[in-house]
Amino acid sequence: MSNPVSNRKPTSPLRDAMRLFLRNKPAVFALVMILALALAAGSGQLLVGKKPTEGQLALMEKAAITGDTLDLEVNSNAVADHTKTELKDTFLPPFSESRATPGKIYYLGTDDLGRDVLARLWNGSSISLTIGFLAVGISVFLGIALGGIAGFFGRSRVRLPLMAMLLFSATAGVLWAAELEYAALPLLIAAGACLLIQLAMALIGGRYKSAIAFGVVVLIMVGTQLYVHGIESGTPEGRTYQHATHVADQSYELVRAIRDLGAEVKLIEDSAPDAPDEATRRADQLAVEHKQAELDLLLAKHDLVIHEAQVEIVERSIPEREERIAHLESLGLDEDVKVEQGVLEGDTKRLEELKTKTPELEEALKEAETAHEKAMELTEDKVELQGSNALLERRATLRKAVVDRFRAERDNRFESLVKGKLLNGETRYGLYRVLRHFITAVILYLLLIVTCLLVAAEGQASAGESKNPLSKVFLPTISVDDLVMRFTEIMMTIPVLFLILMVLALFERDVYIVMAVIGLTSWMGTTRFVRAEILSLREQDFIQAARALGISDFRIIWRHLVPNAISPVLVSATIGVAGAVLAESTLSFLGIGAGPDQDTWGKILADGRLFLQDAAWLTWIPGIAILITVLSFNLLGEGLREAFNPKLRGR
Amino acid sequence: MISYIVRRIFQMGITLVLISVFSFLIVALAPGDPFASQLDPKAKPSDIERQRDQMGYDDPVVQKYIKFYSQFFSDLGAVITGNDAHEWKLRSARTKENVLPTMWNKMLITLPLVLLTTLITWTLSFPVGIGSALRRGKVPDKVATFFSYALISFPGFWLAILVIKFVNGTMGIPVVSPYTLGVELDGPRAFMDATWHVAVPAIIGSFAGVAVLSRYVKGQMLEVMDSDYIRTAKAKGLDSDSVYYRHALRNASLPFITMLAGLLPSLFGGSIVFEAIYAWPGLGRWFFEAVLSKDLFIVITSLFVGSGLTLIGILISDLLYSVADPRVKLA
Repeated sequence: MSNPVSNRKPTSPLRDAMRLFLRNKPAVFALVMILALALAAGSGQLLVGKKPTEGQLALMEKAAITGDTLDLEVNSNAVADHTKTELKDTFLPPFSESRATPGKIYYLGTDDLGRDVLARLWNGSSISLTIGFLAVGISVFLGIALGGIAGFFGRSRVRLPLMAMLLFSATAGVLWAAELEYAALPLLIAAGACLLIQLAMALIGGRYKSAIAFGVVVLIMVGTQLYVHGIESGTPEGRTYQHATHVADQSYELVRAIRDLGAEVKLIEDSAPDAPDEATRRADQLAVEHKQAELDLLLAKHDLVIHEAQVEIVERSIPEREERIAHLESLGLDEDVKVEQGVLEGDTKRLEELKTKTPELEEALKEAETAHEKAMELTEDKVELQGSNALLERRATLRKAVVDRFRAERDNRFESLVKGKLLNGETRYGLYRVLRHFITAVILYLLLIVTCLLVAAEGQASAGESKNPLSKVFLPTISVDDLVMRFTEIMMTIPVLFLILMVLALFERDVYIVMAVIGLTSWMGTTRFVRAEILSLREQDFIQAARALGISDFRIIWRHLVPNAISPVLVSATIGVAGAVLAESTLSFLGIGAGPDQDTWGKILADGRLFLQDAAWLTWIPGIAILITVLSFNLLGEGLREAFNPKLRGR
Repeated sequence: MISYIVRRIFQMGITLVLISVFSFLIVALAPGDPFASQLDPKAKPSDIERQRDQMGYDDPVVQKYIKFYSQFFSDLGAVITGNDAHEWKLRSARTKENVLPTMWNKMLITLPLVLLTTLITWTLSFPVGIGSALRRGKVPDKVATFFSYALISFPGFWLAILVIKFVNGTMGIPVVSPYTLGVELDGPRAFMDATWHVAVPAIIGSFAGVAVLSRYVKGQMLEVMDSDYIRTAKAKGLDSDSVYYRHALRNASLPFITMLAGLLPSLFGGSIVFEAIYAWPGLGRWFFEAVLSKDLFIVITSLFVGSGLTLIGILISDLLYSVADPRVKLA
């Protein structure tokens, strides 16, 4: 007689979850909706918008360098164009025929500039969904990494050198930001030395895991830097950006010099009435004049730097252009070759023009240099006590000159970047910008993670350390759990919306920055519950058994902890996507999210808000799109939660 | 208990110092110049330079940090003790207003809105959550679940402008800004006017809160109702009302004491989105405008006060929790 139980097919937890999930009709529907949205987002990039030809690309590149305005009619075969404005077709309701081109039907109507709402929405879907997924990706990665470390390795203690390294680097960062570079530098070196000691000890002690972890992080950091550098020097817009960064650095130097000047003027104002004698006053006055001459010198240098960068941009583009002409000739595209040659001529002319200006600027620099030298040699009889008002006026003019120049450069850069975007594709460009702006933040986070990894791997094998004479150096300080959780608590204490607003105020309007900010400020919840989950798992019998068998930590993590802890993470990530899409649209609605040329759904809604009475579809359509997306992700998340944890059914 | 509080306050102090350094650096290093957007067109360049000197805008960051916080705490002392004769030191770079008194006034404007929103949220979510837990799987539960999904997923700002369109446009009742501007109203009319103006944004603002909180209440309630002591109580023959309300609800509402921690900072911060849409000149809007015009002192003060209130809220909720739940021991 056979046992009825043994006849039953063995069921895996995954198959059970799958069965439960498929029974949940709203969740399946949400999954289908999300797949459809993902399809729309993917096709949006391919079908909507312009695809310039090689020759048009060249024209655009030229315009990016010279700053000319460009009016190109490109790729009329595109299904829909979200940037095309048609003033004859403004405010057409959905399903109406175009007035400009009879036979064309706007399925979702047009907006105040006659842009096709469907095309805008379609194009925006890719941006909005990418934002949601990437933001959640960042936050889940940080949450799992920090929570996992705090939960699994939480009991091992941070050794003294590492603690010193953390403290040193944090203090150095603060000092650097506070413009005390001279004090920050030794601290940074000390931090590096601490890290090296730790690493050397790990290698001597045969603990290669921590060394490997460190190496991986260093590789990632170097890789990102190389990638950024490659884009910066390999593309025209990258070079423009590099140039602009350089200009910004220069301007910062100038602003600091002006500030110093202000301090000197203040000093004189304070000491003038009660200066002990005429000589002291004159000495003060001399100091101020010296500062002014220094500033003039800086300004002249600044001019020359900007000029040289411009020359370099044009000079570099000429051989590239020649290469492209040869390439086009080999393809037999005569028309494009003609266009290219025209551009090449223009570039050569511009280069000559620029080069004629060089001596002028060099002359000015020389003059400033001599004036500066003179100021240093100023004799007493030339001095005449000026009113402090005159000095203040002078300072104000100088400040204005610097600020104006900086603004002009920035505007120039922005325009050429907007045009340059057409050349290389939005995605690569957006990624590049995020890397550029957030490189510091990401490095700090990675540093924290790797430190904890190092510590943790080391803490496991510290038993044999007592024989080592150096072991006194490796005093245990606070535990890894404390370190990570205190950091998490601090991040939770700061009001997130305030933080997001503040960070966004620092940068240009750009959704990719919004994405990174949302991701970097929303990982704390995941960290806390991943830690709690792992803390409860690691005390359970099967983990103890695995440990008793001598299975390595990483195998325990990979084979036992991850499968058991992954389902709540998946659920919270799904619901997190909904939150991120909603947050992005809210920020775009407030006018601080999307950039001027990025059509996210929140921005389309904000644009349509002005025409609420006359053109209701401009707010209803993006609003419903956001609603459906967010609802789908919420339903899917709930469905997953129920599927993974059947006990929760009906909650 | 006392030693616990002292230690917690000491920890809070360290956290606050870290936050103050962190937020000051972010804001102080931001590009942009509040003096660039001067409100007074007649101001001479040299006057503006002199103002910069007076406010110490060009000082080194460390000096600026020390000066800012000494001024902040001296002003804060005057606000707390109610010293009217105090000479206010912290001033906005752009509008020249005193930061802390203005903050207090803005908070009084925001307070009715936030209080009403919170009140609606908490009074609605408990009955809805408990009701759908007790009638699990029946029609009321399904309706409540449907609405909570819909409300969580609804973009709040869109709902807000749709409601403005309906109430203001279709019903003809003005609801934007705290009271109807340019109309003199008396007695009951003024009261009704103010009620409409505060009720509409408060109701819209509480929707998302009700949706989230009622689901939490339901989850907690279900968890408690599955536990052994409820079964025991039922088996003892207690009537269902005392089982649900005396035994289940008491234990189910414990975690909501933790949620009280979030109440204090929300009283302070209000809602930037709803204040922007309903033209409510409260704290959120004030902060938003300060951020956009890079008004350094207002931004740092708001951030610091907000973080401080959050910390105090967490401390109070922890203490309350230990009072409500004797199993929790503070150590």
